[in-house]
Amino acid sequence: MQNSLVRSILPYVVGLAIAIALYIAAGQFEYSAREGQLGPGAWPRLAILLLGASCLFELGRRLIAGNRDATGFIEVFDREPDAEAPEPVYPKLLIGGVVLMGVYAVAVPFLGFILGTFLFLAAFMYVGRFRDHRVIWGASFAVTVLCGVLFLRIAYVSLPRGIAPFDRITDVFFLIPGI
Amino acid sequence: MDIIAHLADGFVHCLTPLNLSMLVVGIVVGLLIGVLPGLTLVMGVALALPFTYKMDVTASIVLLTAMYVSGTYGGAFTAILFRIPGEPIDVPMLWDGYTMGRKGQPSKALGWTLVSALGGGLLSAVVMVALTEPLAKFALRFSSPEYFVIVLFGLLSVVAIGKGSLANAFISMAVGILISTVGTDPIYGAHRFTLGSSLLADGIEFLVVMVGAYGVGEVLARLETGFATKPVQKIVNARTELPTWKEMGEVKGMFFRSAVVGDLIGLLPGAGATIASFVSYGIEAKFGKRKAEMGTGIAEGIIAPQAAATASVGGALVHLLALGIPGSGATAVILGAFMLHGIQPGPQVLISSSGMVYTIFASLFLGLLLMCAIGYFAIRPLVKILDFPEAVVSAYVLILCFIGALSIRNNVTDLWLIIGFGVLGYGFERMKFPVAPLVLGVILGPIAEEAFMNTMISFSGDWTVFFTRPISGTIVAFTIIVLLLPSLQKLYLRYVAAAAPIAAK
Repeated sequence: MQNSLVRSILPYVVGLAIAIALYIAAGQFEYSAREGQLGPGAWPRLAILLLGASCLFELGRRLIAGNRDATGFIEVFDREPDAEAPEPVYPKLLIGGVVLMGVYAVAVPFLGFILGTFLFLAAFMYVGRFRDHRVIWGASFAVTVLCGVLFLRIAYVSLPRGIAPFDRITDVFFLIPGI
Repeated sequence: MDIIAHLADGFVHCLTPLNLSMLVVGIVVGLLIGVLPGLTLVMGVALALPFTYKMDVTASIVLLTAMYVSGTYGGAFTAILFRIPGEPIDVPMLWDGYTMGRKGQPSKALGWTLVSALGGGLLSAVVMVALTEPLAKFALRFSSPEYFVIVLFGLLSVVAIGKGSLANAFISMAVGILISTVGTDPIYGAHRFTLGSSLLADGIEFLVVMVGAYGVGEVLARLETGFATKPVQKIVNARTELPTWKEMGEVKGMFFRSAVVGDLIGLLPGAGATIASFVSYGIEAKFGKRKAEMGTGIAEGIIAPQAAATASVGGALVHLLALGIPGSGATAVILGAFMLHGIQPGPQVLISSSGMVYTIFASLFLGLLLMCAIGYFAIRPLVKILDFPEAVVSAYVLILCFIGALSIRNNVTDLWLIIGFGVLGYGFERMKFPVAPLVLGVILGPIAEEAFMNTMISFSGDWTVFFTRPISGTIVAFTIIVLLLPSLQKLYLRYVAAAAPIAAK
């Protein structure tokens, strides 16, 4: 089997496996059954059946018709499909971005929203291949201050304060009078 | 007469400082989102949602609706001037709009865009006002079977009338429905797919899925390309030159046709501005008076997509407000805003909150006028935003997404969930699974489940009621027709292709 075909059917094989696992899990919900009534697993099972059937259909279609994407209703109206050369992709940037978001989620309860956001903004711009240091640090500072004032002092959204000593930075924002 | 009186009240309410300022903000932000290639209309509306938490519900909807309508117009500027479609809606604008610009008439192309957006939008706003109340009154007869099939109609229309594989769209929708089932079951109180987590027992907030899949997912997709939007050349004479009355008179028939097509497509749950824009252009290229010249930079090629795209907004709002069924990503977000404020749009909302509904209607009229005024006078500062580095804008977008997640339940788990759904959204985009059915599945899943389970309880598990009751049976028939549309279209194209050589002989 061609590598490209394997790659193209893989999501549907995984989808089918997930559907089977979920179908079994949906039969194990704990509840007090009422006679003649559908249980809490009935509705999810309908969705799972749809998921499984769609995966099976697409799997079969790709195995029979080859590795060809199906076209939808709207493509017929497109005058220049794939007219431009595909853009180059940089998987390392993508991985860097996802890791950075993960680090932010881990760090923000400790550093607090203000410091965490400031560092995240600057780091993300570097990951995004932007190299104007003045703009990076200036924009990160400005956006952090703007978000801090807007959400902590105007909209009163409860955002992480951070732990000592980083919470002192968040406290500065609470010195600004509310509007 | 009642409708006109209510609408007049709506205009008065719309002119209050809060609503008017939200209208202006919404129009400007919507135009900017339309201009920026990395930001899509739905993503922009979803990002604005967390800002509306503490706002009055009417002001929130006015803001989001204004963003929705102006988002259908802003992208045309960059498509015409720089060959950068700010939105998928604006792709057809490249074929004639950009070509007209290259022929030395960019101002004229912008003028046609403005007139089409204004005309198409106003026409659809009139249709919206005229249709919503009668449709809502009719919907008062609906019982749970009818509600279930109408929600199903909305979901399946999104699946059928889209881009790419139908099976992929079904998978996306099923995943969305499954996500909505996570948490505590409303009838039995059973925990479903909670993995023992108390946070998951509360369910997954649709906002997390929506902002994650649209916002974070889109930024990740752009990051993978290294934020490689082409640098724009300097445009010295970015201004709008309106067409003359004579020129407009020459295309009034096709303009009306395009606006009606857009409005009808908007009225169909599932088909939004992008489909309206493509289909309207396709109709003009197939049946228009100057079909042979389409793509060479003629006014018809600009009017058709733009009038239809803006006209689709009014149509889409009809079934959102009258039936509570969002037909597109943007209206799904607006439905989300209603639900965040504890309001379920549908027939009852016109009785209980008619003042709010008519204020929203009035805001659409005022918003269209404002949008065109801003578009006419401020086009240069608007396209100036393209000078902002994409990495900076994207970093800011991510922070807005994170704030949205953190502000829902003040729990960092939601931050992890939004990142997770962002990765899922990126993966879906990459593997050509549409995101809109996923989001609609999450939002409409619980409504569909409730209606389905109520029907099963009320009718002793008799599923044939969906087919035997007159209204639900009719909607089921419509649903089947919509599902068959892609197949019918393929059959028609095969027939046309087969008939062409015979006709040539």
